[in-house]
Amino acid sequence: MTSQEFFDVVIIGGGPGGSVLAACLAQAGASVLILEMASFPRYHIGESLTGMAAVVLEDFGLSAEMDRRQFPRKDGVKVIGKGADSEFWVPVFRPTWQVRRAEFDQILLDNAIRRGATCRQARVNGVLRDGETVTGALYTLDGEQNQREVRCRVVADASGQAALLSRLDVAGTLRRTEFDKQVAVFSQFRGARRDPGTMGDNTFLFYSETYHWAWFIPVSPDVVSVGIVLPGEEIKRLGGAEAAFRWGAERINPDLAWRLPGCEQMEPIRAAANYSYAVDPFVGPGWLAVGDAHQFIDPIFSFGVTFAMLEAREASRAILASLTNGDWREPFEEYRDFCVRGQTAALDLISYFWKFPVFFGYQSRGELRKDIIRLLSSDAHSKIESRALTQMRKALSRAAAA
Amino acid sequence: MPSEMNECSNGDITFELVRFANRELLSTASQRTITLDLDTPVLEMGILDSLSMVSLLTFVQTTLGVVIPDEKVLPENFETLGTLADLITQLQLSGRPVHEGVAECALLQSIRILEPAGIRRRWLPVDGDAQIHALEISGPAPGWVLLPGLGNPSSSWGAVLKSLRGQNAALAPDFLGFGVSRSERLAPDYTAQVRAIREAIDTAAKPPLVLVGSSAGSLVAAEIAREMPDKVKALVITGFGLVEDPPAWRTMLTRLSGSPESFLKAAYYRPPRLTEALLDLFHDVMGRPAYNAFLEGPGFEAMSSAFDHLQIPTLFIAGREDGIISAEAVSAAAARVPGARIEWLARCGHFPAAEQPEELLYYIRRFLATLN
Repeated sequence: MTSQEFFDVVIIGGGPGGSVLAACLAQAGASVLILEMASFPRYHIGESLTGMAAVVLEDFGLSAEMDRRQFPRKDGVKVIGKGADSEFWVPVFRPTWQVRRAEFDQILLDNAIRRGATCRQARVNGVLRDGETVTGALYTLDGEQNQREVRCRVVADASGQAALLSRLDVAGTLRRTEFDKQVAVFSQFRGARRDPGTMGDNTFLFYSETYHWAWFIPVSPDVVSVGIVLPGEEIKRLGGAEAAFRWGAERINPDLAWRLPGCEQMEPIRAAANYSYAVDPFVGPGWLAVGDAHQFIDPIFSFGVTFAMLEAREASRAILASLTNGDWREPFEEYRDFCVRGQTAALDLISYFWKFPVFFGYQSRGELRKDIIRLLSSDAHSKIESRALTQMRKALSRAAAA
Repeated sequence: MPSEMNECSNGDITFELVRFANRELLSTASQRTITLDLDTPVLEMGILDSLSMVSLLTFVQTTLGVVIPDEKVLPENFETLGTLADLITQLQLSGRPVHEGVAECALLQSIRILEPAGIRRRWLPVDGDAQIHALEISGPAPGWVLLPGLGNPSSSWGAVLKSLRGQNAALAPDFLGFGVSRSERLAPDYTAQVRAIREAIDTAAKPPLVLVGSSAGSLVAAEIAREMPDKVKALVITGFGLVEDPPAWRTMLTRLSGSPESFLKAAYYRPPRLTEALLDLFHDVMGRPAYNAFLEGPGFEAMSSAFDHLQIPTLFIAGREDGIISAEAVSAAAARVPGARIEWLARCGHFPAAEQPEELLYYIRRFLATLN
């Protein structure tokens, strides 16, 4: 083995979480190595950003690039109710975009590299430890056989649903949480019917009944991502992903059924488990996890990518603090609490939506409007509980007690 | 101030509520096999959906004469018909106003239900002894002036006002002879309406103004925009256009007005249920002398020149399913106004403010942003 390499931080995964983390750290002067398994650009699901993502992008000076790529501007979310008998629209707290992830993730990765991060296509096999403390990573470069070693002061897991540090027994075990039975089947379509004007560029959600819904997300001037989400056993009963998609496209909601006939399906139907999970603990001496690497929640409100980006930004502050003062505990625990506040708020909001959809719709137009708009933008990490969350939590705990 | 509230007939709340629920809330065949009582967990059983919720709230408001304020629309109050009856009794005891005549009761309730949401009521003296009643919110400029469709009360802007609150100032007046505005003159014509609304605006709204008209209220909005261009930042026309053949249009409107069902079907993409109270409201409006007076003489003439000589940035917002004003009429009107824009709303009829209030606000805001 050659002489040992050292970076301040090694990041596993170059998706939005890893890239934003790398960019923030590199910008602050830390040396950063990203180890990304895939060859970018690569396909990924999760096209809809929420308002807070726009804040991060603007800080990096990337807003103009987002518009240049013609990513459709997302000014709000339209929810079309069961049987298309009702609908409501919730404006975003701050305009954002819906993206083609292959391109978007590349933009963020390039941004990290431009700011000084190093990126290698490699598979991470394990970590180095000194007692309890993680001190480096073992990896294999794409196309090589031999394992390499890199030493560092912090390993950040941004490996997404692979949740690598959990699988390597560094982080806690991955546990499934509340919405653990849904499967999404999806594809992209050219020429689907959209609503007129810029309203048609927004994210549309079609509701059918609890845990049965669909998304319709414009990702370019003429392409939309369409996904059907159903309980896993129903996908099985319907005869698999392809059949379930056909069934859902026709049956979830008449307004969705009207949009698809005659348009061109651009790729085979894919399937992904929307099995919500959480990893605990997800911070420790010399390591932490960001985004899906420690928690995944029901994607109905498109929180995933934006949460990963916000957590990455927060993690960079925690890591920089630990590099400066040599102690991980306080900044990492603060980071953990930040994540938990946000994820809990998101979970409660989503539970309330599924449990009391009528009230959710009513209140999003009433006195809780502003709070709900903020929460839906992923502005969910505040230490102060909003009125909306207080009311929703009260209703949820009443329902749980009954 | 006119006295407006007497006692609504009370009746037996629980009896009325259970009877209504069994008659109106059970929509599917499987639901109809059950009988609801005070303890049936209607929320848990999914009997309350967004549609039945609206009809239930309307029933409570119009038939039982009780306004359920937004902050009480919580799951815990709708678990069973019993918990709802308790809430209604509580609200009655706490002295929420109720009234005797169903139509007027419903009208006043539709206005008063907005008060807990921070929307104030105001009386503006105009034209000597008349009084324009208006809903009002304060906030930064520009001040929005919201003019209702012919026959509609100021509260038809309720959803828009609620969302606008805290963001901009707004004034939504009742036309003379409509809503609860008071006038000695039973049948003010179009010219008198324009004059009165201008007076009300001069008193209560600070320029620069955004004038928003619904349906025939757009005639007045356009007229005022023409009369005081330096005070108006933007004009927004919803549910209206250039009617090519006013006599034919008038005939169609009269025919539709003869049948509330057909009118609702033409005006809404998702028509509200025609309840007894709504029927009363409908007859009340059609029976008002001011209704016909508005559409005759100067009002009738205004229709063909409404969009001429406008020098104000103008936005048309039109429901694609509007059965009262055709898409051609909207396009023809926009063609008359230099630089006018049109935004079409899918799954929306003649009244965007009622069917898609948030979408309406979205397009108005986008438009205003382009003017800055």
